[in-house]
Amino acid sequence: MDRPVSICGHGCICAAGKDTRACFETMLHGDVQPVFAPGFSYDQTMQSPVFAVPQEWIKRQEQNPPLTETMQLLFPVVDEALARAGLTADKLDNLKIGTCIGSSTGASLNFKSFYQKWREGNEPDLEVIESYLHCNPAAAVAEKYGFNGPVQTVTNACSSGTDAIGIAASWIRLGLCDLVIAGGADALSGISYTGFSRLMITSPQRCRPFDKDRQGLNLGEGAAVLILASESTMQELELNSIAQVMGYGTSCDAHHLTAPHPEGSGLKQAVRDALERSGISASEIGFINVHGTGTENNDRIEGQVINELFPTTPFTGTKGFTGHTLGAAGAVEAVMTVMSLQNGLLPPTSGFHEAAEGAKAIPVSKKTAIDAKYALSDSLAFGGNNSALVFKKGAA
Amino acid sequence: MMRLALHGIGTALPDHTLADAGNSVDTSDLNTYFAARRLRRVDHFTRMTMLAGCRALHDTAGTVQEDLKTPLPLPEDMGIVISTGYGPSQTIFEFLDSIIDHGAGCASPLAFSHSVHNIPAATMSVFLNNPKPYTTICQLHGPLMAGLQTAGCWLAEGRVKKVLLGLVDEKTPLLETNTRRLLVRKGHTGEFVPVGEGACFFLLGPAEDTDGSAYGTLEFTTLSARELQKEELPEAVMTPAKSLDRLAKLNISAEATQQSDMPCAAGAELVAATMQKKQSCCIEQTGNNFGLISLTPQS
Repeated sequence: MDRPVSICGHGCICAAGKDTRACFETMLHGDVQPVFAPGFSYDQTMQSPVFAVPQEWIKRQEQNPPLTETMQLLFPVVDEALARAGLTADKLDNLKIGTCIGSSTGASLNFKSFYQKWREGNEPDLEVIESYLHCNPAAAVAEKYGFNGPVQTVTNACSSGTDAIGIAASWIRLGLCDLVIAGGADALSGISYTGFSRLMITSPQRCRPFDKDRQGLNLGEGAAVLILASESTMQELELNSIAQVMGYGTSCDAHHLTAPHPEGSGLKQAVRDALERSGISASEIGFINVHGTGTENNDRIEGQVINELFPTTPFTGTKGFTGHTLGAAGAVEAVMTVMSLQNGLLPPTSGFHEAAEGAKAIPVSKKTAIDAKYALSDSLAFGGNNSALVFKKGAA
Repeated sequence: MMRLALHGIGTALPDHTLADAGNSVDTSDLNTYFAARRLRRVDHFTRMTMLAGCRALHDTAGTVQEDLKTPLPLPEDMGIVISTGYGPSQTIFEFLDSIIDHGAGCASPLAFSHSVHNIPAATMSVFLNNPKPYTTICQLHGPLMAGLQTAGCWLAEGRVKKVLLGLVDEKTPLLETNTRRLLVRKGHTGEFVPVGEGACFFLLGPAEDTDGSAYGTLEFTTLSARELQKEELPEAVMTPAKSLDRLAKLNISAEATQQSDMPCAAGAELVAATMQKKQSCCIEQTGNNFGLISLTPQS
């Protein structure tokens, strides 16, 4: 069994809000409309709106070389989490602080314009390359804040954020550091948009997770982090434990590069491991924040696994408010899971109206009061990777 | 300080000669492991990954791949950790090529899906039929140390019984051009260390499990420059070529076997350290600090 790890702060930005509270409030009471982003390529086969973070919400930071868009999202979220935890610079002195961030587009060489100019025989300005080299998500956070613990950028596609939190919890348990900034970040990218469109898994309308008429996903962007702390650090700094990371499970399907296993074998294994490591049974999970992309494959397999392991557990999917934020998704959903535990409220599954005929896994469709001690957040990724985290409400 | 048993090593590197420094890796040997038909869509980065990974499995078991019928000796309950500086770069550029050449509406979905960072680890899991945990790390900042830490955590927590840790980087024409231009811009006037590529894999187990280990144990920790200077280092100190000057300034005498540069070069130097068959170490620069990996051969 894994020793629980305390969470003392969180931060989040996505299309639903510019900070954690705003995101959660929007999910409970509001709505978000995806948009057609300027600069993206559209044609008859590529017409999918995206969940963009409004520019006026981003507290842009000037730096030379310029920050990548992913880092423009991530830095304010780290600031928010540190402030919420009451971790001022003087308190961070002499602590060993790790940085573990999941990302997808934020670690990709997606500089098309530069590449095209180079391919044509030119010597384009190296600024975009220097930005990339200085903006590896975990390394850039460690450098900016002067953190001296382990540094890791996890690139497991759509499960990266979940995996980053799971790995970070191990660092605390094994005494590798006192605090860890753990989460995920990804800005919208026209290259990823083209790729997902060409895989024919984007929706021409707003995504509809678990709905009978779902047509695919909408891409989104965002960043979210949790601050994990060792027990001695929690006591020394008199930090408030808002929740705990219990168990983390991860397993791959070893089946297909872009489709989940038909029986969800890897997802089941990841969830079972997370439960076993938490020392709890499936029936003790009060609710699930699901991956719920709104694609035919994901929702069918994930629904099948939920129905098998958690036949009566309420679950919600939040991508109808955020879009699929790729490497950030698991982190955004982890933060919203913690918010649901803290506030006893589960947001509706935006975009879901009616289940497919015969479907047994039906998400909550309206704001729901919930008294849960434990919750699960799971992610499925390209490459057949599956990961799950169990969280516990409040202190030990 | 974490400690692990080192059971096997596998590499896919260019020839270890100065003349061949910076050359591409020949992965044709992979065709003796898997049928050409199954490999037809596997890119160069992933081929290097699979070749070095499979060689590490055989090295651990003391077996060799004779032909396609030779069974791969897959350890029970083995996770895979891959660490890379840039990921499968050429495949990303092939996707960009397809957008530039044919328009976004006709871009290659195959190139896109294969350009995602975790696809090499996923491909290896599929080919090995190994439905266990895997993870991919992408960073220029201490990729070897990051991979070792994750392997150490998984083993310490009993998530898996063994970890196949790989360090992989791919050379591309754009990377070579950019590296040269960036060095010139920084005022570099000396000889250029050529950009290299390759894959180095290590089959790791818990430290107490050294039975049958041909290589003994490795211990690793991160130190500041001052702490590193105070360490009593063994005679054989290996480090990537690009770190030689920095260590020399700290009065640390080290050598590099690979005369080429890649983000994961410390992987190749760790292999070289194990070949000493005596107390040795590998030093990887991690930002302002250093990862120190000390090897104690099996007595």
